[in-house]
Amino acid sequence: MASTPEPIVSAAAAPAPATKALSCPSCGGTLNLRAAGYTVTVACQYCGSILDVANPDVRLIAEYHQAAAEIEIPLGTRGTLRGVEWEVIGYVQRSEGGAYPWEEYLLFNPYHGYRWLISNGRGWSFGEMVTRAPTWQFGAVALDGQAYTSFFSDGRAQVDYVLGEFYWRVQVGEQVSTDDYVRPGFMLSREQNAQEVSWTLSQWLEPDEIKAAFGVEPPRNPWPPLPHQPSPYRGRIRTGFKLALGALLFLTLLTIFFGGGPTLYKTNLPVALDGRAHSTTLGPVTLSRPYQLVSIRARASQINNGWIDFDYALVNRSTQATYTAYGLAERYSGRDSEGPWTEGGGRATVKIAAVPAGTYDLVVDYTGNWWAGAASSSSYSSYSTYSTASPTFDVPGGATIEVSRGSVFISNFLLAALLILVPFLFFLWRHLKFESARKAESDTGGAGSMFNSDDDEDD
Amino acid sequence: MERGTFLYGLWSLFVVGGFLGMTMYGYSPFADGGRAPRAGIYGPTHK
Repeated sequence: MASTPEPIVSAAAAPAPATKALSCPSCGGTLNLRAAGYTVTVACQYCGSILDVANPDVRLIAEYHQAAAEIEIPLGTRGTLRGVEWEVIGYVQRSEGGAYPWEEYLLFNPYHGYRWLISNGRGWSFGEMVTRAPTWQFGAVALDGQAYTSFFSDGRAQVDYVLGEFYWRVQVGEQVSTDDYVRPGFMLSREQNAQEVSWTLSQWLEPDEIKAAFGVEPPRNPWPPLPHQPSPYRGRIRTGFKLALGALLFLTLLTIFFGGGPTLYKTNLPVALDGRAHSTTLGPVTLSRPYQLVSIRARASQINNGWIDFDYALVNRSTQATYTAYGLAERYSGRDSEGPWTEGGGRATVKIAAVPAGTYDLVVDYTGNWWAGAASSSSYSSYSTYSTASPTFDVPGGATIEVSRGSVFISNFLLAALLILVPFLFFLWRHLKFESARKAESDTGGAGSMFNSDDDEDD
Repeated sequence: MERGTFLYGLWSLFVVGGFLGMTMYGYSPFADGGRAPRAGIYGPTHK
C-alpha cells in the first residue's frame, strides 16, 4: 500500500468529487472514476490495462488484453463499516513472491478518505494508513500507547494483479519489503520501498461485520487463525476464572461453616486381639436435624501389629431403620533391611449419609485380630507391649468410639471443585490450542501475551 | 455477557447449589454407610 495523499479530504472544505467517465484507450471501455480528483492510476476493469488519469489526457501506462478477474466484492459496491459508507474503488492481489496470496480492496469515502479491506481467505481486516510513526520499545513497536510485537519480518510483498483506481501509480510486479507486528485484534504493517516507508493499522473484523457491510460470506472458524485474530476463548477464560474462583471460595466457606459437628456420643470399648467377635449396643444417639451426616470415629491408639474390624449398625429406635457401615482400625510396625517401619494409625472414621432425625442405638460388632506375621518378623521381637508367646493381647486403652453429627464430605467438595473447574480447563485448553496455532505461523517466534488486551471483548 | 460465560456461570451456580443441598441433606455418593467392607473382605490392609 502506498501512502495516502495528504490531505485526504477535509470534511469541511472539499466538496464530494463527482464521478467522472472516461474511455480506456486500449479497449475503448467506459470507466467511471469514483474518486476523481484523487485517483492517479486506473486499472481498466475490462482489459486490465493500466491508465494514468492524473492529467486530463488519459495515458496508457501498460497495455493488457486480459479478462478482468472476478472479485468477491465488485468495484462500485458500497457498504457501511464502522458507521461510514465506503465504496470499493480498487482491488489488488498481492503475494510473497507468488506464495501466501492475499487481496486488498481499496475503499473510498469523500469525507473520510481511503481505507483497505484485506483478506487472505481466512478472515477480513479493515486497514487504515497511519500518518504518525510508531516508536520502538524493547523489540516491539508502540503506537498510541499500545505495544505490538513482531510477527512477520523481512517479508517481500509484490503486486500480482490490479483492478480499479488508485491514489498512487500502481504497477504489477512492484515490490516492497514488509514487517508485521500484532496485538490481539490489530496488526501494524510496515512497508518500505526505495522512496518511502508507510505504516498501516489493520483491525480484525468479526465475520458478521464484513457480511453485514458488503454481503461477503466469511469463512467460519478458519484454521489456523489470523496472526492478529483474538482468541474467542479469552473473554470466557477471564470471566470464567473469576467465576471459578468465586465458586471455589464459596465452597470453601461452606465447608468451613458446616465442618465439624458436635459429639453426640462417646465411649470406650475393651478390645482384645483374640479373633473373637464381640457385640455391644451404644446409645442413645439423638439426631435433631431433618437429615444429617453421621460420623463414627474409632480410635485404638495403642494397638500394634493387629487390626480391629468394626461393623456398625445405626438403628432407629422408632422405625428400626438401620444404617450400616464398616470400619477398620489397624497399625503395624517392624524393622526390615531399610530400618524400622510403621503402617496405619489405629484409627477408622466412617461417614453415614443422610440419616433422618430420631433416636438411634449404635450396634457395634467388632473383632480384634493379631497379625500372625508379626511372630515371624523382626518386628515381633521389638514389640514390647505384646512380646509374650500368647497370640491373645488386650489393647491398652481399648478403642474409643465417638459419634458426631455434621461435618462435610471432602469427597463432595472435591467433586464440586472438579465440576466447576472442568469447563474452565476445557476453555483454557481451547485457548492455548488457538494461541499455539496462531503463533505457529509467526517467523519471529510468536507474538503477544495470551491474555493482555485493551480491546476487551469482555462480556 | 457472552453466552458461553453466562452458561458457565449457571453451571457454577448449579454445582454450588448442589453442593449446598447435599451438605444440608448430609448426602454424598461416596459415603461409607451401607458399603460392604472392601468388596466383602475383612482384614488388614498392610503390606
